[in-house]
This record gives sequence, structure tokens and C-alpha cells, in this order.
Amino acid sequence: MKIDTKYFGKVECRPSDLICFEAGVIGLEQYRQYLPIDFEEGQGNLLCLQSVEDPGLAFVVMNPFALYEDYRPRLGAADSKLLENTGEDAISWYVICTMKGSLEESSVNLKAPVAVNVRSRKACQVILEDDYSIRCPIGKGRNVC
Amino acid sequence: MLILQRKKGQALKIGDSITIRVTEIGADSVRLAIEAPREISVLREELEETARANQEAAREGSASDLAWLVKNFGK
Repeated sequence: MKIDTKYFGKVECRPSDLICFEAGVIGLEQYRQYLPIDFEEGQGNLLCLQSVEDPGLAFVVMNPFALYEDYRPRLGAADSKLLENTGEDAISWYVICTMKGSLEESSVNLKAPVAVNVRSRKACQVILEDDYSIRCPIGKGRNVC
Repeated sequence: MLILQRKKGQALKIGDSITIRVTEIGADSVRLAIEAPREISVLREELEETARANQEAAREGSASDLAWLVKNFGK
């Protein structure tokens, strides 16, 4: 199948490449199917989640552990069930980046990361109980030069 | 502001289509069951900011934003 994307033009993919947010993303619940697209130079730390249903809708997500070594997101029982989780090693964590044209103004949402089960290809946005920021400036990441 | 008292199992209605029922009362929290049409957004207050951040993140980014992000974080 071919899908239109926000940043990459037309992209060829297979249905098995898609990930499914059974409950959507908070505030955008109607969109369920996303295609993860690697940035060539992203080295796995940067990923685009492109909506299959709406070409104009795409998230840039980051590996939170590359930004914050001490970040410890945890999956609750309900989310774990939603993801058909069989073990923590199947879960990849990402944080959604809001880009505002400069490093100082751009932020990541540490309070509500995205968990993806790489085996079942189910995903959900998790709300952590911990006191993390919804708009944490990415310039503050300790591993960033 | 309207303030109502409800017991466990009791409900209140907002308009014709929304029903909110108290299903459990704990020491410092209550559990509510909400029946509402699909088009009505029901959101915990603290999630509003996440919903806004998500909408900005999904719609606003540009290719030039991406370029510097990849440059800074893609190494």
C-alpha cells in the first residue's frame, strides 16, 4: 500500500508495518493507524509517527532515554492489557515532540509518553502518575550538547 | 455553580444524552461511570494540556523544524 505523508511524500508500506493506537492519541482519538518512519540520520532516537488516515497529521517522537537517562516510565495494568503486553522487553517508549522552530521553545511531553509493543504492534499514550512535565524543553535534556 | 450531593449508585444527567453515575466511593477518590455520545469529548482535567500539546505536535511542525531536530538529535 502507498500512503501520503506530511514529511516524506508518498511512502510505500505493508499493513504489517503499521502500529495501532486502539484508543487513539489523547485529543486525537479518531485516528488509530500510524506508520512509524525512521529518519535516515535519526539513529533510532528520532521517529515519525505518520497517521494513515490523515496525511497532514504526523508526530515526531524521540527516544526519551537518549534525552533523560533517569526517566522511568511504567506501564499500568490497563495499558499493559491494551498493548497485549507479554514482557517489558517488548515495549518501546517514545515522547512526543512539539516543534516550535527553535530548541529553546520546543518541548517533549514526559508526563504522557507513547508505549509501543513491538510484537503486537499495539500502541497507547500512557499517563504517568509521576510528576513529569507535559512541556519539558528539549534543550534541558542532559545528554544534549 | 451547581453543587449536588450523590450517593454510591446514584447518577446525574446533563441534557438528554449524558449520564454520570457514582460507582465507587473511596477515601480520597470516587469512581464515575460516564455515558455520553461518541462526539462528546470526556477528558480528565489534567489531560487537557496533553491534548493541546498533541494537537500542536501533530499539526504544526514543519520540514525546517525537522531538519534542525535531526541535526541536533540524530547523532
